[in-house]
Amino acid sequence: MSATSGAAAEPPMVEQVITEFFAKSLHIILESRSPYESSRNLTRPSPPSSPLSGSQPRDRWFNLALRDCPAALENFDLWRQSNLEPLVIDIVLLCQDSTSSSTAGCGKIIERWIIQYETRNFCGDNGNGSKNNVRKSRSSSGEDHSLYRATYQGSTVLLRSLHLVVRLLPAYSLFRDLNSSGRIRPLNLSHKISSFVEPFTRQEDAEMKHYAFAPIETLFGRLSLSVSYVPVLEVVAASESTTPVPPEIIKDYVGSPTTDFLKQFNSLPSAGIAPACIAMNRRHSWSIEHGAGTSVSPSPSPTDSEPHGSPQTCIPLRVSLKRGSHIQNASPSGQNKYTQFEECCHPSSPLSPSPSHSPSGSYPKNPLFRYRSTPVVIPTVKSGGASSRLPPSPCSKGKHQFSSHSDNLAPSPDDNSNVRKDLVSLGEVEKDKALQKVLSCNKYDLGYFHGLKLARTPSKLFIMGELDEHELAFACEDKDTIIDQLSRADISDREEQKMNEDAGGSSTRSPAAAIGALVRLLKTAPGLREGLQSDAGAVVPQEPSSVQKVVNEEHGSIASSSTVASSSLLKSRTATDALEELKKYREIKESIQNRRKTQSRDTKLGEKQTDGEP
Amino acid sequence: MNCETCQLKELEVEPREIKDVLRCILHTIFFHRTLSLVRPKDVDCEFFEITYVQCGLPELEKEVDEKIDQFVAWVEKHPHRSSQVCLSFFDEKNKHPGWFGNKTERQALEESSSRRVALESSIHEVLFQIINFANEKKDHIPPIPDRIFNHEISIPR
Repeated sequence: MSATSGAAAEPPMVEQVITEFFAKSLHIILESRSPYESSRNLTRPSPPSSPLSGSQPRDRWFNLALRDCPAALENFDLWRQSNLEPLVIDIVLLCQDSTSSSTAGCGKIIERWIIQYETRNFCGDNGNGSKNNVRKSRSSSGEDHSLYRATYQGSTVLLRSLHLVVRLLPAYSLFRDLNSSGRIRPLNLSHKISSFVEPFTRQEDAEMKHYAFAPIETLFGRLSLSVSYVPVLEVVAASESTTPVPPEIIKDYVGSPTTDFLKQFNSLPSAGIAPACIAMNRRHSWSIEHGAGTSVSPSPSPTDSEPHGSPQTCIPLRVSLKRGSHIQNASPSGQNKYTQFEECCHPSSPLSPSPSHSPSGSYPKNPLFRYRSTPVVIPTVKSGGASSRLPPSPCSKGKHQFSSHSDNLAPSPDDNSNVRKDLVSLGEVEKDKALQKVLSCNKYDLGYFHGLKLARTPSKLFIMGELDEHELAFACEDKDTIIDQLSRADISDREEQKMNEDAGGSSTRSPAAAIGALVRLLKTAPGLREGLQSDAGAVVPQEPSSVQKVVNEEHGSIASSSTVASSSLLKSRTATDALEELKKYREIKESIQNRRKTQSRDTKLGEKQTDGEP
Repeated sequence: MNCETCQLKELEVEPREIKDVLRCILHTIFFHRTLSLVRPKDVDCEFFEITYVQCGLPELEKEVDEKIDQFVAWVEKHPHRSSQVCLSFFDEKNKHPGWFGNKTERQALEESSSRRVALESSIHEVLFQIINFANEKKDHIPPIPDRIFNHEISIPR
């Protein structure tokens, strides 16, 4: 660092001060103008208790401990040739092209800092007598020291002023915005360091303001620092009004806003919706715009596209959500609002003017869960489903057992499944006759009718709500009482019965319908004691089954009873009937087997007798 | 008495703005006159879009806040009266405000409503006043000590 030839050189200590002054100035400026170089230094620990502890050697210069050196200063000492060269720092505002990833785009110099050391040979003669006296008395070392102190002290104060001024100029606000937004905005601050001053255009020069710090006089020159800056940065407002991604209306998203139940959200207080929407319109790393100026946003009213009383909008939110979900921006609805709400996971909003309202707390939970497909008719062959007609059942475990469609005529749980299948296959029999059979039985038995568990004793008919045989929901004293109760649930279900029978017993009839059929049966059913006699006398002319034919042929004594039994079976098919039939079949089988045995014995005996005769 | 004096522009502030304004101005002065090692601390004004710089010295911050609180208490007891705050720096060698005595500030405070924007502009002017004065008048500053200069914040009583 030597002065040009012909010019007196500053003392070495002063030269060093000048050199460090350049470096410190550059450090101070870039620390507040380079967003991402300085962002690395945000985690700098708090100042230690002792000012001198933890300070770097370069911090000691001018007693101003700054953050870590920006990248621009790493090679500063290498490329800088002389203190006589001015240091020109241009702060450039870059408008990034949204379609390209590069930073190429419009660039505008918004600040120009000029730091230079002018030797007294080049600068004008200020005619200051004190300075001339300083020059003349240069020879003493004490005076050199005083010169050094004055230069150093003056530089110290000047750098503190510089540290403050960089924060008072408009570009500092932009720097802070860029630091907090994390390069999402289409703007960027850059800097250019050079050793020569490019003249401004007339237009640029006209709009710039200038400020010059009080220079620092040295023995043979002076240190000067000045700044030319744009007083108002209009690019900030312009960037806020642009929306890179235009909103779109997506109509076919899950959960149509026209669904009636979604309109219930209109009745929700606006504080629960609009502020939540506003609260999400904040300076966020994923937000595209700064969050002010645009107009479209959801609102409770379908016709109102603005949130009530809010200067901010939800477009940034919409845009960001649009990447991953389908959002309407002009068709506000409860579903739309909720989707926005649900998507947002960050309720804090340093920029939101709305009152603090946690969108995650008070909003009704998961209206999306309320969305449902078309109702599915669940098979109601359940005992519990007859709650409208029958007293509620205390036990709920049995409901599941009624879900089987084949249980319309299902036998008791301990019955033979083969019999059940036979009963199901005999679906031509009307179900009302099943109830007659239940009522015609003269012993305690347990049966099921249309999902209703019926248990009866000779004198009482129990309609059980559950499958537990030991639990009786209620007891009816007589048949008439049962009929009265069941008649309330008489619903036309004969078509369903046929459908169920055709489908192998699948039934979707309601318990009320089943009860209705039971009522009809009860109305037409003969008396408990009379049933058997009437059955015997009035045989329903039905084609007997093959089993019945065999019984008639093979077993004469039992034929009549079996005929009666078969006719009874034909009349009403219940589990009891099936049991009886099974028993009779077994008896018939045994009788047939016995007959065969006897016949075989007879034949053997006859053969022996014939064999014995000559 | 050779004393460099800087009289700052009068400011009309609301009572709730007194603390904010006084902190900004006083700390700016201290920052320019504390030539010992400091770690600058950026502070945003509460009511204005102004970022000023503190020295990062906890003891100094505490002292300034205490004085401001006393001043605010005085203002509350004496409404509708103008007052001033004076910050003086002393040389160690001379206990009395000697050649380095600095009456650096005079501020008139009134309980009157004022436009915040105009006030913010005024504060800017005051800060640049301090900057200009601090840079122009520095020949009288004694050698840089290893600590802050002796000083006194005078408030009306």
